[in-house]
Amino acid sequence: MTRPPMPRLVAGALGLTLVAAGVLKAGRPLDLGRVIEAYRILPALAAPAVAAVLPWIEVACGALLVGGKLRLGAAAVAAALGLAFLSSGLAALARGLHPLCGCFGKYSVEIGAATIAIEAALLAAAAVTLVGEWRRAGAPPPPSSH
Amino acid sequence: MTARVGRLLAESAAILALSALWGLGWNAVDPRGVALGRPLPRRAETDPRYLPHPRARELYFASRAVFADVRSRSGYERGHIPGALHLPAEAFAEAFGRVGTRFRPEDKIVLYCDGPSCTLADSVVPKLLAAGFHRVRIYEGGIEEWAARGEQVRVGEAE
Repeated sequence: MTRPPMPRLVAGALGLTLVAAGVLKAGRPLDLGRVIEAYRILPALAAPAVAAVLPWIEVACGALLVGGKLRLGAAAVAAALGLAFLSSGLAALARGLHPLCGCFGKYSVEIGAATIAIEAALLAAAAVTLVGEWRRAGAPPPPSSH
Repeated sequence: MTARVGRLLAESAAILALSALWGLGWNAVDPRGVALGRPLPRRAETDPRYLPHPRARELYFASRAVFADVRSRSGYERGHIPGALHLPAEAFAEAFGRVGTRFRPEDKIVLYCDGPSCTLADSVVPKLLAAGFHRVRIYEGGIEEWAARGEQVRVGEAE
């Protein structure tokens, strides 16, 4: 029995994390919108739409990574999300703001070293997954058994 | 290489487009959905724990509440509501040890921070409740609205 390659294990863990994060946020757009506003990055008019859509992007990405479909695109979107989360957290801290991270819905805590570390880990996992899927997409197809 | 880039972009665009369509559709039919294209409603409109400006002003000028600024020292010193105690969320225990004796359990305590999007005051409420103060409210508009409405703002160190 061969073990799955490391990027696949990372993709699975990342996928499950994204699904959990999305499910905990989905259906609570008002709460999430207020968290988004608290970062003071997007215009106030954009917060409701982002709050309505973001959890479902996380759920879709996570499910695709776990299910092994469209993994290249899912890894790219996950990496973009990870980069956006990390940079917005750092930007808030740099401006002396301490909003809730909004990472896991009602289980969120104020941003700080711990949430920045989680966001960095998410970005690293997405980068590992993306590199793995990028290489796999360029590899020759396995020989047919027929 | 080009094919991989194309595949990456096509898959990413499909995921984003379908997720966005699903999210917006869900938001449209979910009773908890939010109105798009306009700012989120103020909490003071629906939650009595949050005070709009007229109510905060009324309590302040009638001296019927103790006001506390929960921002950092630098924020407080840049400008605070005159007479407001400094109770920074980031150092609550130390600050409460210093100014907590000025609260009485029967007092109405009004917390504020920067503005409607600031959540520092929300993080202080459970700590005050645990300390036995149950009449805690949040002035949602915070110092930004207070100043914008032409109310007096004091600059400088804690009083």
